[in-house]
Amino acid sequence: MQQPDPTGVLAGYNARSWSWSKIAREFVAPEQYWMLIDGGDNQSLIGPRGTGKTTLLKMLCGPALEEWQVRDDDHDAARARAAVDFTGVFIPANKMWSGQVSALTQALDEDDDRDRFGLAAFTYMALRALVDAAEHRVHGPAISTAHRRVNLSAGAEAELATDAAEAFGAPTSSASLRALRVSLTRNVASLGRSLRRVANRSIDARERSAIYASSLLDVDFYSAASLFCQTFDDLVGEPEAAWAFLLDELEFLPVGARAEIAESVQGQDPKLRFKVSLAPWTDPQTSYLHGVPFNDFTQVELMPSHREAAHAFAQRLFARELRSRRRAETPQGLLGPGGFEPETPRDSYADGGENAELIRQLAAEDPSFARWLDRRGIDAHGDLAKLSEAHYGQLRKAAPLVRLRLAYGKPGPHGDRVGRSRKRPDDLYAGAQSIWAMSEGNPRWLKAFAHELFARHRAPGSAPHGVQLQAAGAVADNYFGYFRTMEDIGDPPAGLMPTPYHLLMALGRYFERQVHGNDFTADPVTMARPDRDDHWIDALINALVFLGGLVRQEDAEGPRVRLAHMFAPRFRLPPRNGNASPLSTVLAGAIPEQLSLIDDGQRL
Amino acid sequence: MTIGSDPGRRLLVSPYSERTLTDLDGEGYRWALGSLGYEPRCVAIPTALAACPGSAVAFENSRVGAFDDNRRRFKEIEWNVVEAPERDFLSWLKERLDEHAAFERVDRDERPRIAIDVSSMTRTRIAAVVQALSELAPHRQIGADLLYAPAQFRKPEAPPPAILRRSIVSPYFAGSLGMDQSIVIVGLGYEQHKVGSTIEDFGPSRVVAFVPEGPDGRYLSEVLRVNRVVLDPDGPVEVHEVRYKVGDPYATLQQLEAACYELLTSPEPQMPMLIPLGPKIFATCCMVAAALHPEHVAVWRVSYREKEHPTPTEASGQVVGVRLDVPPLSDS
Repeated sequence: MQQPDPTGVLAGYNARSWSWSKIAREFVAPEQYWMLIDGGDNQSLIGPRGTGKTTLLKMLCGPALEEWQVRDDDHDAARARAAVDFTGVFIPANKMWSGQVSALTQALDEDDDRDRFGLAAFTYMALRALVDAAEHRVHGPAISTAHRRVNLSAGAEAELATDAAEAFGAPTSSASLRALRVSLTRNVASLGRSLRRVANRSIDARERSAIYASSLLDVDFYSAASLFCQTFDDLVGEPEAAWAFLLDELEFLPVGARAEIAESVQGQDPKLRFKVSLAPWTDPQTSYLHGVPFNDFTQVELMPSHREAAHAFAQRLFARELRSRRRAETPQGLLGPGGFEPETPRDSYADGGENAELIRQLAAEDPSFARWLDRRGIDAHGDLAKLSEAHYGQLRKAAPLVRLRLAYGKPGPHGDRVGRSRKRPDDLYAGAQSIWAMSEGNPRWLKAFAHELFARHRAPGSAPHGVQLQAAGAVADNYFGYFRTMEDIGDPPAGLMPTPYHLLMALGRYFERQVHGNDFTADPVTMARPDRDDHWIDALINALVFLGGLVRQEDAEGPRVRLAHMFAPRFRLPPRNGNASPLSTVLAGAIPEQLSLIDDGQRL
Repeated sequence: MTIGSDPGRRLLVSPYSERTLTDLDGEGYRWALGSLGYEPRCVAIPTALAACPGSAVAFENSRVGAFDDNRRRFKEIEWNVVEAPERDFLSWLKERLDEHAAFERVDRDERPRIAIDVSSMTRTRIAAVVQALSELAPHRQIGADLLYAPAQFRKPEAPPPAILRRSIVSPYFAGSLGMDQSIVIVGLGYEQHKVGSTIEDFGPSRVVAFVPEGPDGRYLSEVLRVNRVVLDPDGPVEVHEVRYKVGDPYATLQQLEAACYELLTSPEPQMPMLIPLGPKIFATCCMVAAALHPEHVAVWRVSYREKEHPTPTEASGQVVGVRLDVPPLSDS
């Protein structure tokens, strides 16, 4: 093997295949992973950026499963290797590839021609991924955790490669899987050259016609893949085996390729399965995905789910981060409990308890809160631990808001409530409970938080609250940076939010006023319900949902959105769902010119 | 340096020694090309090259700042100001090259040479320049000095929230149709949000960040400060930092070509995606490096949809460049 040149530009840079082992080493399986394994043949994995879609798909592939090590108290690796009963074929589309295909096909005259070439490019790359997966099963390096390895004699491999080369339109110089892979790569290069020739307007009509009629465009993905898989399985003695095509970022495939996949599913070959990942942009009212029917796909959602599950997953992810840094602390030990709720909530409402004291303090300071208690027949100075279940439930719901109002407000000179000057967010937002809430179980957020935290806290032992808050703030600031730009989707109508950043700030400021307004409420508006047919606002919401700035949910009244909990400290919000107001009401008072005066991030 | 994997054509690259504007003269150039825009820097190199015939292609938009002064200056030095739609720039330039290029029977020592000032060009125009040179007719030959006047130091301004446009700079630089693992090679400058959001959006397996070093140390400090998140060695994406000298484009081109070559020829090839933000001379080097591997290296541009605030960029007085030769195909 050629050794890297230590004097090269990329000295120290290992270009060998590192991705499988790195992914497997850092992998913590969420419940959705097991749903992808057990939950049916054709599935769509939907989630914002950073929720781990690509990782989940890659972890269904043989090389990753084999690299996944069993850890002391975690047997997920062995469980997965036993449970995955198909050969995973990972096919990565992404925005870069999509942009290159667009650039190369833009010189073609018709949309249909662009689709044909785009589909052809996808077909050869998908078939190459298939051959890669097969080659790993036959020739992968010896490893004790081998997954679905098979023996294939040289003669049988030659037979397979010969038949496939013909079906793939990819003649090879030698009959082997490796040569087949090279030939498919060559086809992709030929396709690119053809497109460059077409883009050169000086070529003659005959050459142009020949390019459009090229046999490179004739390979049908589904039948070629079916043939290969069936032949392979027959040769290795597994005629009933299954293969799963794992397509990442489906929205970046050419329309023709998406339609091909949809049709492949309807072909109902039990041997071929499709698991696709995509951004949460779909109109939930239809079964179409970016213009293509996807009726037969079961949805697996990676959006923030039940709080307990998200918190438990966050804790496991963070524990992995600690292990990778060889820290001795547990997550709770490092971060402390913290949060908006004591560990023994019922006790805290008894006389002398933390919540009881806070409630009494706010009742004394804040007339609106005193009235709120009075309307419910709750005596702040009584024994709050002995309240009826109904009253106790109301107080528990109010308690986080009580804490927030005490932390961020104080009595004003005219009996109103005014803001308290602070240099940093309150310690409410530190501690394990709050960190898990802000993470919403998002692996990317947790990784970034761990990175920021340990850049500031290298000593052993627990991390001070101030350091935790700085780290969480730094992560939120980075996300804000992404929201300051967005893809060009046309011109915003005059007077509307020009970027996702503006929309996020408008929502955040509105919700902040609801929480910290003059009148106390235990159920402030911290969610917005889209209530008008507005392409631009929908585009901004979609962009923010995809980027992880907003979370979209459904209730009985329809869709609603809230800020991601990572922004709770910035806007002084409780990290939980709240009441929802029409979006038009929320945006009514915000105009772009005023938004330019918004303090964009100096608060933390 | 003779580099190139394209069997049909080779761009020959050689060093161009740094000099001052006062040392630059138009003698020896058959023709020169500049840009008419809003930067005072537009006319720095053309003024020094006043002795040779030249053309300045006017930008259609942002005719503010020093635009009118620059137009007057081009008239004073008797350069032809060209008003044409931007989409026609490539074809127009190819016609000019056709006028000035020699046929293959001309000796190498008598090869005609032109000067192209890239200082105020857009990256799209720079791409067109390199493409036009790469696609010179096989039996023709020409030499081209791509010249750049580094700017005087100025502190970066915080960019407003904006709509970004990300696209391949031109179909010629679209790279491959393959879905191979890709590496982003990005040039850094003051445009932190462009870099950060693009890396976040593209999600490459790795990033190689080219960091410019200029004669004024303040520039490097500001670039490092503005891009500290991108350059964080422990960030979510593995970032490999490479320093390059704005004053030595030939060495920069060697670094870029070496990086692309290593990635393309590694046991598991990875496709370089070049995002040439920062100084235009880096963009020039990127285009040349990509043109040496036209089917495998892609070049992206990232711009704000709104017109960027015109900055009164002044030339520092130095001139750096890259010398290209395009021999007739029989010599390749």
